[in-house]
Amino acid sequence: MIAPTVLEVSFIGIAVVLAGLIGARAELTRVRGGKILAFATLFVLPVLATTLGFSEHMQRAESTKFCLSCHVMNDFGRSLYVDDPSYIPAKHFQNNLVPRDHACYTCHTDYTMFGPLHAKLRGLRHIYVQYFGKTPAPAEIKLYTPFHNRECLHCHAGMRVYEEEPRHSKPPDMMGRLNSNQVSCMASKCHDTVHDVSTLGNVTFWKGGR
Amino acid sequence: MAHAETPVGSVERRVRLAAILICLGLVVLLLTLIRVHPLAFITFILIGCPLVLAGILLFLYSIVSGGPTAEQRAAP
Repeated sequence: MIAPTVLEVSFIGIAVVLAGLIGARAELTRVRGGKILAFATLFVLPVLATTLGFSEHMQRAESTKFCLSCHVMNDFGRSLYVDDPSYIPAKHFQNNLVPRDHACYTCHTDYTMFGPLHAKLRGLRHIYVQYFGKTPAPAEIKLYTPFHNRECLHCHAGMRVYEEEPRHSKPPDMMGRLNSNQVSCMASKCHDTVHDVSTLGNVTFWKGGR
Repeated sequence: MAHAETPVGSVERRVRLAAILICLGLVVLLLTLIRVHPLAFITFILIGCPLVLAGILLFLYSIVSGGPTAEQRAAP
């Protein structure tokens, strides 16, 4: 099966060739057929090609490789390989609880109507800071807002292992408080070891999965 | 006669320029698809898209501003 990217590149390549043809032979537009060709080549195809390209770039912006391509994110990428299941991102990444090629985005997008858009806008801000601003040290990087349980519950809600876990089900109204984000999954001394990049010097790393 | 030829030549010049801009923009788009990197995305947004957009707008302008073709002028 032909990869979608190959089809996109082929489509854009054809658009380039046709635009080049019109550029080299503009006199073709003197006749009706040439006018139609010019309209298709200089309006319809570029719009479609740019839309395809934009869509492809948007999809790539969700990939782990994209997120970790900035040097400051290296330690966060390494934290996915920590050989300790108490590190939440490492446990999820190593056990395929999140897709490995979209590991960052899966947890760090908002599962709301405009969540993906907000995530992209935050990404643009990160790119701006990376190239034009003052890049903080990895250990100083914090979330803009506390991690919302909604992002965890997008997958965990309804899971047997989540609902039958005594610490979730025994305390009265705990499930309700978790589901309404009154008690944070991460800030309640339960799942509070996350990336913790400042501790990476003292841990061992999983060698698999590369 | 030379005056009558001007609109057609002008339209073709604009179409040629539009085609070149679109070509360049799409080539930039193709090049940015080679690597998965934020700079590729930024290059696409800041260079590729404006080139294509400028080309499309110039082409549309050439359509609406174009004078009669040689065929139309020859018609009674």
